[in-house]
Amino acid sequence: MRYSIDTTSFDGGVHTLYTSPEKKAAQRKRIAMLAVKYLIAAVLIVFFLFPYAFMILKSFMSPAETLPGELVHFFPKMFTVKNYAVVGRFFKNILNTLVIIAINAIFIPLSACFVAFPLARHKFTGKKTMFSIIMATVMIPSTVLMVPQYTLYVRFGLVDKLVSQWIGAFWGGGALNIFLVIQFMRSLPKEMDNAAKIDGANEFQIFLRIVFPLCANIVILIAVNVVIGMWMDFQSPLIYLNSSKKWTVGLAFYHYFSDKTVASQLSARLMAMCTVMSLLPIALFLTFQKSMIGGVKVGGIKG
Amino acid sequence: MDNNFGGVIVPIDAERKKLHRNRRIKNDLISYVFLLPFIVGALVFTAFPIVMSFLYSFSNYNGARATQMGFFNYINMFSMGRGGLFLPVMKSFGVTFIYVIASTVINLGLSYILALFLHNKIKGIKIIRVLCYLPCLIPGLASGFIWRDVLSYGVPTAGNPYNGLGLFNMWLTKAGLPTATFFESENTAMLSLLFTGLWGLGGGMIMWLAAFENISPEYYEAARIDGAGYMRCLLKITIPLSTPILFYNMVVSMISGLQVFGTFAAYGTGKNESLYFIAIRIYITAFSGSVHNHGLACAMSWVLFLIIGMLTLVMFKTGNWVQYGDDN
Repeated sequence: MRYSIDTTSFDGGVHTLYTSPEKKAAQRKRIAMLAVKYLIAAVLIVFFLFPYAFMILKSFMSPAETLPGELVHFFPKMFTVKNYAVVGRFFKNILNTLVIIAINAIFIPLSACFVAFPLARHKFTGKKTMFSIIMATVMIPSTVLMVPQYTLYVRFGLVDKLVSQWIGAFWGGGALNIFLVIQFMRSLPKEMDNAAKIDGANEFQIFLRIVFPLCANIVILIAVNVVIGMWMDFQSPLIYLNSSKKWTVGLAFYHYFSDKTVASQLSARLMAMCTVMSLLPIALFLTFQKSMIGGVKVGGIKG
Repeated sequence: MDNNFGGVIVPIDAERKKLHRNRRIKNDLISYVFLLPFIVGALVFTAFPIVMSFLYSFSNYNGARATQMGFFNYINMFSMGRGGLFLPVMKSFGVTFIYVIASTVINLGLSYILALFLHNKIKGIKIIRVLCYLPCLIPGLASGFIWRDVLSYGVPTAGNPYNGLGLFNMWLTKAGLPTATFFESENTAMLSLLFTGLWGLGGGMIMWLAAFENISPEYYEAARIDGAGYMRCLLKITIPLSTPILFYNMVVSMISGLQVFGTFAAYGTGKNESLYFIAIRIYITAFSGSVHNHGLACAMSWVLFLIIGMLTLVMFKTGNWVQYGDDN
């Protein structure tokens, strides 16, 4: 063993002492390729980080430098953090949003796991049909359901109440989430189920005690996606929440800044609010990065 | 099994069958208890609304009552005469189609190239990937307002040649180039929207990278032994084995693209209705203004539904270019 290691290092030594011109050229070419790659990477990073740089830098500009008459510039001339006081205005709306996303982030993955369990682990009559029905709901555009759902919510007295934003969380959480969980559950080993069955556990115990705890990764992935998706959901609050007290932060933001003249006069504040609204998704992504990228793999296999 | 003699077998066998059947029924029932939330939800929030939507589309329902029934919503949509909505409705479908096709091609194609580059094994590649992905995490609502600000445009006045110009136009002016109208002109609004979509390529990139990692390295090893270079591996292995995911994402991107609505927050319906997507028109017809024309909105959404269904069918029928691996 020792000898073989010595020989390799000896060979290596010769290699560095004398290099043929061809090898030198190859090495130079490799270094040049590497430099080009890093150059492209640098350009990409500058490109992709531009919106962040713009948003953050502008959020620190004093109101006077962002008035419509002033010349537009990239770096703040008079640095200030006062623009961030605008968050106070949206405090109630942020609270509303947090309530909505908390309920959704808990119950969407939970109900998706519940519904997916028999489809992933059981054999039963009509399994294929149920699976096809679930997948077919993907095709239905939300606009087809928009008007009658609104009428339905009016009947149930849900309009202008926060309930309208989380009532949908208990019914399986949507076809794509169910599909994701089915794929994940199929990959779990079945030995434990069978052992528990022999010990006299019923299906509900097997689900709660064995399968569901093993689904932690996919549950986190769905919950994170729900939070990121609903944090700034716009269409559904726009339809159902009329009074400003009930607005979600995205809707309140829209109502406050949608007017172009207001937005251009308050553009520094607008960017401060955009920065604040970007914080939650980034924090979640950086925390759960691994399971989020792993989830892409689970969801990606097979169309 | 001590009863297993002669004529006694028959009744016991029947009993066993019955027992077996009972167990199967019980097993089926348990499965459907798990499916119950979906079934209830689908009936109340999907099936019932779909039926109602179909019925509304043949009426002038306005949220309170319907006084007329008939095909008039559909006839109006396709007639050019007085009260005919053919031109505006077709314009909405037109801009929606342009957006769907262009954004699907750009997003899937360019993110593929980006992923090929970020598949390089160089030091710090993981950080570079995350940095390229980050803009996807700016909420769509916020990024719409950011781009509206960056790309703003104004007509120069005598006192102020830089009137209303955003940062990009300012840079263009400083570089001695003519300014661009971006969202302030019917001709450039769609291009500008697609341009801002480039900052969302990271999402597709992450997906492609996952697809590449699913390709078994054995294929590449075998190809290398046979003397295949980078390009040959790319054309014969990587691209063919990416087609299942390409297909899936084309379908999803088409279905979601046809329903694009989020641009409404920052850009409204666009200059001269250049970004008046069909979902926005359906929303405005149903809920905005003094007249809530629920019936017409439902009729338009059914046309959209029909188009989505037909396109999905066509895509699956023509999907024989998709190369599934051996294990499928």
